[in-house]
Amino acid sequence: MNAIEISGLNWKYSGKDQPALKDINLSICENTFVGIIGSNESGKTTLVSCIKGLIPENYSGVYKGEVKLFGKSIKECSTVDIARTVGMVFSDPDAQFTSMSVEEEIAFGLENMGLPVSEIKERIEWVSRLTSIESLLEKPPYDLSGGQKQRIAIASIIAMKPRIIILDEPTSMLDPFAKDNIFSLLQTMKRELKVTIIVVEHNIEKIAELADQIILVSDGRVEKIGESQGFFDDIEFIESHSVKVPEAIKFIQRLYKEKGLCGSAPVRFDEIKKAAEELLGK
Amino acid sequence: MSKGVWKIEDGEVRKAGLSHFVMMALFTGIGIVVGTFGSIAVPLGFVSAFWPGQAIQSVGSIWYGGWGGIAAFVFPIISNAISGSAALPVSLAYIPGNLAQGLIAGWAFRQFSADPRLVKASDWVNFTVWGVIVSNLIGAGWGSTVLTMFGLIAPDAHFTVFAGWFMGNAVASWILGVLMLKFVSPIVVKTKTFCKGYWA
Amino acid sequence: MAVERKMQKTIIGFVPYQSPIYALHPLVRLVIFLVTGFIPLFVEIPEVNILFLIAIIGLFIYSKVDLKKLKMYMPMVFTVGLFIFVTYLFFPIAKGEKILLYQLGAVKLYYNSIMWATCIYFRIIALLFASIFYFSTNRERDMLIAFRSLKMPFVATYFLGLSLRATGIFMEDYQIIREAEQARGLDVSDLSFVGKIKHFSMYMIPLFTLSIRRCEEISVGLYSKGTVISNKIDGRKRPDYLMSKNPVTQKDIFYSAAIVLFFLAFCSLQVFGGVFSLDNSPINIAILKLLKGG
Repeated sequence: MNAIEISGLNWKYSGKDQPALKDINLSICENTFVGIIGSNESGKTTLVSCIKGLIPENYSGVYKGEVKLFGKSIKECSTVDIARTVGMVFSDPDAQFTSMSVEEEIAFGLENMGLPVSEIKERIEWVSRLTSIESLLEKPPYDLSGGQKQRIAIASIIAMKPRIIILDEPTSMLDPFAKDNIFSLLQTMKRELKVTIIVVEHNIEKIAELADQIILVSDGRVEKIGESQGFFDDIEFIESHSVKVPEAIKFIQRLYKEKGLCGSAPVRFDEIKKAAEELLGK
Repeated sequence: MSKGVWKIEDGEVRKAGLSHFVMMALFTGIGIVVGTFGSIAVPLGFVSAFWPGQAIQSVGSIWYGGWGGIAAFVFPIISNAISGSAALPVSLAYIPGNLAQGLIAGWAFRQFSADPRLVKASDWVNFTVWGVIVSNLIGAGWGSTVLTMFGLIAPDAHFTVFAGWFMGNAVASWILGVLMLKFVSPIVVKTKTFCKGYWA
Repeated sequence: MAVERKMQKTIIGFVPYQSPIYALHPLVRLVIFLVTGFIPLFVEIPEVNILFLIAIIGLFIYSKVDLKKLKMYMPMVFTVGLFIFVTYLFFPIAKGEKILLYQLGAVKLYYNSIMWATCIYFRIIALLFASIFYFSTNRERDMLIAFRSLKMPFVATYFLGLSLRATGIFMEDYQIIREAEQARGLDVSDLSFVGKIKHFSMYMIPLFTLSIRRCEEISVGLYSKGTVISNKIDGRKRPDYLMSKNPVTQKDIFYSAAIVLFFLAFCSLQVFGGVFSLDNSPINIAILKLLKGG
């Protein structure tokens, strides 16, 4: 079943001359891990904001087209319905932490859903085990690093058990160590949760590792959509949209071409390493 | 008189919502930070002379109407507690004065269609008269009366304290208020949380 | 051997990591604060307020609060005193019998005025320390639990919590701006008073600009969690996880009631009997006797 169906979506922010999204048509199957890539200001965040219903609910502008979540038009869903279906994590960890302790932060979203206290407790225990934050539950926000706060932001969304989780540049404000932590959490989520995960990210290397499907957005349009294996076959096309393809992928593709091999080169680091070793005879 | 930034366009829907509530809380947070550091930097105890928080109160109501007004009386209670500049009963007694300081400028700017970006001479006059002089007359009058009632100043010192309070705060609120209106208003008036009416 | 008192940073100050006072429910601690925050208003006798102050300092020690953290309040303690004594010196009050102690030109030092200033000074210092004690032994979370225990609506407690959280965020921002300036070689301590004021005002502009961006992000974040600022969800009472973890017990109600009863009894002594009036101050009586040569 399609988790998300977008047809003929156009969006222009008030006061802007150009639309931010132009004629988007897209379907995403449920339980897939999707990476959205593109240069700054390309429309990635605007696209996921439409999937979350933040647009048009929280912004003014001109909206045309339709977004459906599991077959139901987003216009027919209430705020709480959308929150139950789609969870979203933003880039600034501070802006998402509004409570006085980690435990309350996770509980807050669950309270909004009107869950009984016993279930809130169970979900906090479950999600804190899943995301390895048990030791942080009692801590206040000012005792946490940016990476820990972001982990908690993700945990608080997972606890709500939405069917779709969107992460909009979740690592952009974090140091390299914290970034790695978040990516390993994404790996866990992919393995353990049966949900559709959409990640907007500039780190193409990591996205190539994790995603089942990648979407390239440029100048408000979906320029390319496809499985990660084979997505980078046309490097020139991707780089012409101001997206830098990782050196490891470029290297293995060059090697494939030099050796005259058919088919798509691997995109995941372990596979690239293995293929390179085989091709170079090591 | 042109309504300027206060004019509600044809078909424009303005509703008080979550973002206003959040802005009120954030504004209270800023007020706490500014009020606390102001009280610590110029430690005059319970006397609020040269207290930068007053500028926040006036400007808050200009930008955010009633939401700014609520923030205006809440943040001094907390900032006074943090800085140790006034005990709880005194802070509570200050509430009407703080509320007045947090509503008058907002009311006047809407009533007389003054532009928060201070573009015309009349905007400057409106801010100076309502946001600084009248607000501080009431604030200092109420505050010094509270101090007298609590016995914190001698009754005969009432007028002297009032005058010192008024002049000190008027200078601070004019300088800081003008800076905020001139430099930040152009951004604020374009945001969703800017209140053309009293609540939206 | 000196006891090491470990303190934990909170948004509005420092609290001990561990303290015997934490055994009390936040509601009881709030009741103690409200009572101690008002008792000195009913006391004129400086000795009683000094004893009250000593008791509060005793509570600080008992609660394992690092007294060094109170140093930041010392300028305030000094200026409050200065202000009170100066106004009572230059504007002597008519209350009580006027006894001239000293005259320097037009300035007359009256005993009654200075004694009254002393009463007021210790009263306000006692009040301030009661307030500081509360904020030195309660985290923001405890305050919210206490307010919710008093059945304050969710809207109000959430507003308070979000305001305090915003305070923390802006304090961090403020610190970042200051550090950036110091990194560029600015030493604020070298600035003149006017320079400091001007400089302080310039902090506000980035703070406000940041607040606008943060407002949008926080609103969107709350929306995405399905937040409805209301006491009800789907027509039913909003669940309260925090309170479920910190329920108010019969014992807490008993303690709170006992403290309130003590407060009422104490106030009655002054309101109906004038027990704590300045006239009953042993020191005042002794000095007056001395001054009058009795």
